[in-house]
Amino acid sequence: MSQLSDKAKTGVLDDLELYTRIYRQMLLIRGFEDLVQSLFLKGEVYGTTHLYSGQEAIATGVATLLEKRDRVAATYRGHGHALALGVDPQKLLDEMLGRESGVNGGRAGSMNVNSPADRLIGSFGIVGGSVAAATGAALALKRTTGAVAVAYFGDGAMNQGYVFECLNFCQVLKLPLVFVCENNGYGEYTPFQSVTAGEIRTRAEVMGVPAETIDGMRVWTVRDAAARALAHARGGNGPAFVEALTYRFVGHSRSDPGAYRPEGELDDWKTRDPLVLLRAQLEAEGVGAARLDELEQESADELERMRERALAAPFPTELSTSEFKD
Amino acid sequence: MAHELTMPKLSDSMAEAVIVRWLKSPGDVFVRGDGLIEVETDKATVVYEAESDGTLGSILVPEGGTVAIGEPIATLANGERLGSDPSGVRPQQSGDGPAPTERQGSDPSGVRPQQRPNATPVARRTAVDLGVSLHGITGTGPAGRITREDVQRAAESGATVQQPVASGKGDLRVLELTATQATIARRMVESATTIPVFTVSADVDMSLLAALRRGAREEGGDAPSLNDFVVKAAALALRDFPRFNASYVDGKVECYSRINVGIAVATDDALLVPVVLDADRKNIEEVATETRRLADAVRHRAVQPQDLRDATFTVSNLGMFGVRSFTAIIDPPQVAILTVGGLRDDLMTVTLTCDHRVVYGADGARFLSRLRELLERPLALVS
Repeated sequence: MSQLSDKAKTGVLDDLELYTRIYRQMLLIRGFEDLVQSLFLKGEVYGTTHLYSGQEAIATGVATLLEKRDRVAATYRGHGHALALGVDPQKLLDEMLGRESGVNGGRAGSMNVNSPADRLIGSFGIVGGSVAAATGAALALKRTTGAVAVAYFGDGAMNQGYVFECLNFCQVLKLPLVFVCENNGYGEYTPFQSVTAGEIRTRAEVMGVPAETIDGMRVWTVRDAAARALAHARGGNGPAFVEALTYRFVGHSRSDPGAYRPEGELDDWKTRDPLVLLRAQLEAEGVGAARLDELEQESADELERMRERALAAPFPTELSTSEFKD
Repeated sequence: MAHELTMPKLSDSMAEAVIVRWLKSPGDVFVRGDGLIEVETDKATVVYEAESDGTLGSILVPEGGTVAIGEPIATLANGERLGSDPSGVRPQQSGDGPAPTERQGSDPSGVRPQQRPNATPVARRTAVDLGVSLHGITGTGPAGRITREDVQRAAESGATVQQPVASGKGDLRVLELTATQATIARRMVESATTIPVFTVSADVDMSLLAALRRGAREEGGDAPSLNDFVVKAAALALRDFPRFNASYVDGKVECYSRINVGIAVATDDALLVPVVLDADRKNIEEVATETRRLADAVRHRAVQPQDLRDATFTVSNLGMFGVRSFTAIIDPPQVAILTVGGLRDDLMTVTLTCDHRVVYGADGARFLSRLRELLERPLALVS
């Protein structure tokens, strides 16, 4: 990615107010993940958790273009997907901490969050599971409202057989599904090149699915690509495929110190931190630094309040949530 | 920032962890992201990075100490709440609040059949090291988990030596290990649990060497044994492949200048590995003389400590038992061990077991290839 010029040019961001809100949203996701990490270290988080830090531009960029009737299937690295769709951050944090006030009553934990009211049909712990679920959603949407489904998945999922079955099925039936492959370079601890033949994008192209590979660190680039893909799917032309190149700034799960990554690789990618890039771009296009500092402080304060409320929230009692009765 | 540092949860399933190394000393100033400690969890050894800026006060848990999540491990010198009692090596408050009870509430652990004793990984390792059974030890850790201290206490009191019980396998006869056997057990566990090994084998045509020995015997001499030739050949091959004459130490490879080949010698109740020092610089007669002296010393229990020290490589031969080939366990901190099978129509199989942290498959193959060359064209061995 280092060949890309990240020099801020003016005229890139079409709507400064919108991109300022996007920056605020990305700050929330990054801060949320830092908070989850800090609470995990204290033993407050139940189950494992996979952090989205570094990949914020993708979920945020795509979500800004979705309509209320659309549906999204997220991965187990799904906090960012959920927050970008508008899931209440307090409820999401409470969920991580196993509290009754969590978005799923404290029963789902990090990897299985769903919030249909926010268009999130599920977060899937099975690699590639989101693709199958979103295919089902796309089939239903085509028959009913004509809306679009989005599947987020990683580079590792591209070697799952049923991902290809879904691609094929969607293309044959012209289902309105946007495939968003977040290629962060590693399937758990394995560099994706060492287990993946050829290029990811071409695998969609052989089925005639329009596909593009984009810089997943620049949110405006993500939005441009997502707009094209969504228009294709919404227009009844079948699925579209976006491969967004990105990097996770943390290990795979909380047990993973990430020591398998070559020295310096993380630092290189951190120079392309999506928050840093967006902030630089906003400033270059005239948004005042003071305003952005204010947003950062606001986000930090919000998260601190959330932390206190979450830790004070009650745990569910035995069978206290109605869906577990009977 | 809090006034003390507590043991962080660094893996999904961690209940406690061992502090391997303090990366900061009391009084050191650190900033967010600085490595503070190296922690061995149940999954891996990880560096715990500071979550915020601070200054390290005093260290409450030294290196090697095992600590449960949330327990204090150090005080911080700059905490806003420094006024509160900094001496507190007390059980954690917030870190251990509702968590364990909640966990038990949603987990039918009370009815789970007790197959595997509930013990920490360190406790398991300690139990193996000390030869103590985990069954019957009462754990004092969280949820009755057996800790290393529990195992050590049990080992000291001998409380877990179970009464021999007649079972479907008949009466028990308990054999205590001798000191040598206990040492071997400990070192073999160390080897098997810390060294990632691979093995490579090769067949060597020994017809020339066998003929050479027959000739020497017909002349009435005390011909060097085939094993002496293997020792000498291995020593010369080690000169060409210094990584096999080395140790893996703290992420580095330490290569030795002397080539000292240990020879595994079976005794009635154990195994000793006397050493031919500078085997590469001794001629074959000297190697033969030395191995005979060492073998005699082992058999007569007269072997001296200096005869058992400083081996940089080991050769083990079971050819005399009609064994075709076998693998052996590396004697740490050596990098490799060579095993030798018996002759079959002048063919002999040698097997090299190697530490994969130091050498790789192709290295092993090249080493064996050189060894075979030396044994099949033995001029270099006898000159």
